[in-house]
Amino acid sequence: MVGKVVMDVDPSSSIEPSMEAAKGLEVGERVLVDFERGFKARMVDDGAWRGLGSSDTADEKKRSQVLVETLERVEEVRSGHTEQLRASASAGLSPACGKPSASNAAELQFWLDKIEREARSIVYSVVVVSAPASLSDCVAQFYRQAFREYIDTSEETSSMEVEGPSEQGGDQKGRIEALMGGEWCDRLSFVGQTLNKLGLSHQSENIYTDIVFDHLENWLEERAAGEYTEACLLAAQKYNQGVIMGFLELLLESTSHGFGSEESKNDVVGQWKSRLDFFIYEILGRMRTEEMFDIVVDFPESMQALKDLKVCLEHTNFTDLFIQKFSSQLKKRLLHLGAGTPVILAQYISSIKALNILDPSGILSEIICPLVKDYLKKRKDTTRCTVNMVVYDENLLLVNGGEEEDEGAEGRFHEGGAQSTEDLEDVDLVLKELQWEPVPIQAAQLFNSASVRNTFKTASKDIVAALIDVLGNKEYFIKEYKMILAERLLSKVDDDIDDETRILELLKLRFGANSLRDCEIMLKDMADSKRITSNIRALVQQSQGHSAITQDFSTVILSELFWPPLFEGEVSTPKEVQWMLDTFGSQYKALKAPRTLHWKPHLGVVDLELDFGGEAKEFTVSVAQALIISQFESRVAWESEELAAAAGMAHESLAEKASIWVNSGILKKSVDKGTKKVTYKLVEDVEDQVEKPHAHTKPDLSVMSQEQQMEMNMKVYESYVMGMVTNLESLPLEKIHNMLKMFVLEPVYDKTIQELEAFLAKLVNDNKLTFDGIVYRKKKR
Amino acid sequence: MMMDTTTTARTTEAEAAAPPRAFKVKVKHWRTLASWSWNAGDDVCGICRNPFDGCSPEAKYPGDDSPVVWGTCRHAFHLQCITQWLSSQTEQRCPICRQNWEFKSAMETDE
Repeated sequence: MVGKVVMDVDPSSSIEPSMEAAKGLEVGERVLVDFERGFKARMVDDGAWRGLGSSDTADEKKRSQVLVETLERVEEVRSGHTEQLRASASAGLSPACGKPSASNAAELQFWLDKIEREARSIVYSVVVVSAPASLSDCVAQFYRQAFREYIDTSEETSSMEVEGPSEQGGDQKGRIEALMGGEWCDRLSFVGQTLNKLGLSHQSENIYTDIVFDHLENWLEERAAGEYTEACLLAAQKYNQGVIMGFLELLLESTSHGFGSEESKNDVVGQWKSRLDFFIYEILGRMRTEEMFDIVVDFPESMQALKDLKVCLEHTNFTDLFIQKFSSQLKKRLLHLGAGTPVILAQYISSIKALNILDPSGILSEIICPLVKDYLKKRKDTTRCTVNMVVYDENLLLVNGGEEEDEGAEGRFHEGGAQSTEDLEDVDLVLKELQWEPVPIQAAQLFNSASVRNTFKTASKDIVAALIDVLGNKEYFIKEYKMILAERLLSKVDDDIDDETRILELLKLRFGANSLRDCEIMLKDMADSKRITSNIRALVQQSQGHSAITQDFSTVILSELFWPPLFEGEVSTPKEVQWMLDTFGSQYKALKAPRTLHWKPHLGVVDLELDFGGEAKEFTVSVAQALIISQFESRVAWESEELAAAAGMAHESLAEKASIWVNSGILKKSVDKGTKKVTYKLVEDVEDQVEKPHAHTKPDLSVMSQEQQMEMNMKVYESYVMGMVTNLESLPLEKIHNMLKMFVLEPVYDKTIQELEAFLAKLVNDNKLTFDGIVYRKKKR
Repeated sequence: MMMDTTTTARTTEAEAAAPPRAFKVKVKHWRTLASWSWNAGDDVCGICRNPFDGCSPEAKYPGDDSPVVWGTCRHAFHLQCITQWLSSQTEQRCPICRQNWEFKSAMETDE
């Protein structure tokens, strides 16, 4: 590969060779060819690398030793030959340069430098050709071992003296020498230097860079993975600064062509430090990005991890990656059927909070959260869960959404710093201005849609506002709250409404008293009922001489217009209760004439104690449920039709109402195969009463859900629809909609076509209609 | 469930009708629901157009706070509504039938 050594004269060279350039070239070529031949012969033919290739010994120490010895041998050969080259080159050139003078000496030096430069590249090429393939492995193994020894030792010592490695500056080299011993340092320096002299500095740099990076990555992996409560970033940087840079400085000093000056040393070391710091940002940033979902789950315990990630995102360009990763984590782990709505809501709230820490401008959460929001919108129970969460579970109402801060940020954002000078005199304001951070670049994509911009600040800062944003409108929230409040008030037997009153006051602060007037009236009804009940009880006692209306009877008198719709139904009220109802009713009429009471005997709550011959169980159930179970006092088993008749309720609703007893193991339901008749049988032995896990054992509710209301509203139109398809055979959706609009006046048909479609789908489900994708037909029986 | 079916099938009528050995249901508290009404029909007050069982515009709460009154002409209004109407008129007439307005006593409205 050698053969020709071309020396070209640098035309821009400042030295004008006085001797003939040809002479210099000739000498140079001659000595270089000699040098090459000799060096190559020693390296290849004499096998200077011998031992290295065959060093299969498992002992790492020994292998390192072999490498050092081999390098010593190679270095000896190289330095010998270089000496020789220099000597023969000077000898060859001196006569050509004529009598020694200052300019001649400079010229001689010029040619010598040139030749030596060439010699270096020859050395490199010969080394590359002659060195065994295992050289880089051996070097890597050597560095790795040295590094591990160093890390092990420094970890041992740092565990004893924590301050040691973190001390900035100081003499790293001195410290390492004290730590590892001079021999270790010399050996490391020697290997570094030799590889550099052989022209392998790049390879060696790559090797130790890999080792250091690998180690750093593992270190972070060990320390930081899954650990969110501690700040890892600072620790990693300290570790980098104190421990890893020590090792690198030693190597850099030997491998770089020696630091020319203190300044250039600081330069190189500084570059390496920032390179490693950046690497830490990258590794930690990527790791935290992958873990973001769990970090949010642990929030706010994971605050430190979030702060780390914030810094990492600031220093890297991972924001897009972060958005993409976190979104897909949310999709994969949260937004599926297996996750309950309350869980999703909780994670949604934590996500907003966490993202606001990562990005105080709120843009990150504006980009990511719509994903969850849109998903939640598709769930039916979102409204209910949201209200429960805001009102009852999380005490979110007490937290005021930091509105002041909002305004400041918004002002800055919109006006773009157009502050008057007077304002700027305010020191606080100046400080605030100084902390200004530009809006992240991802914001651009948001500002295409004006609607997003409107919710920009409020939604991301205020959790309740963010939740209501999911529902789309505070009216939905209030409507659902009203339902839940009604359910809660009507499903308990005591009159304690203090908690509800307090909650209502908080809600009024947020939504205004007007929108919550119905709820206020509901609470007032409860308080009034309590008063009237005790009044009437006293009156009856006076007139009849004994307590006819007992303490264990109470009535809730509703201003029905202001309550959500209640279920219709009927039961046969027990005689004692009926008597009390009558007495109470007439007293009420006397007190409040001309107002009268309209009883809803099928609704109400009963506290029961079931006594199974000594063992008692307590239940709070609806009136219907109480009536069902009390029938079993006289008979062990009832057929469902008989039972419904005895309790005075519709047979269709019996199964639903009886389910509470079946689920709690007190009744046993069985179906006769032949007659399909359902029989309920009392389980008399308490030990045989097995409660079904996760089964519904709450009293059934008096208040209709919004869905049930809707269904009831649509029910009116069923006969119209059935009439249409009977007469006209097949009809498309639009036609049905239009005909209903045209012909149904009482009650006026005011439903949307979507509502009608849902209703028709239900009729199809109930086997009343068929739908082939275009037209609806009557189901043939 | 299969087991149940067979056992029930074997249960005789007499057995099923027998009372349980010792099963008592004790009611500890019975709470019923009722709603009140002025019994002024389903209609709305002729002055404020709000339901009788609702609130008059001046009142915050229904019921005691916005009572319904009848005139001798059998027309009903919220008390606040008719009082306001009468005070704004020189002649005391029912706004619907133009007869002289006189409050019917509560006892008389009782049909």
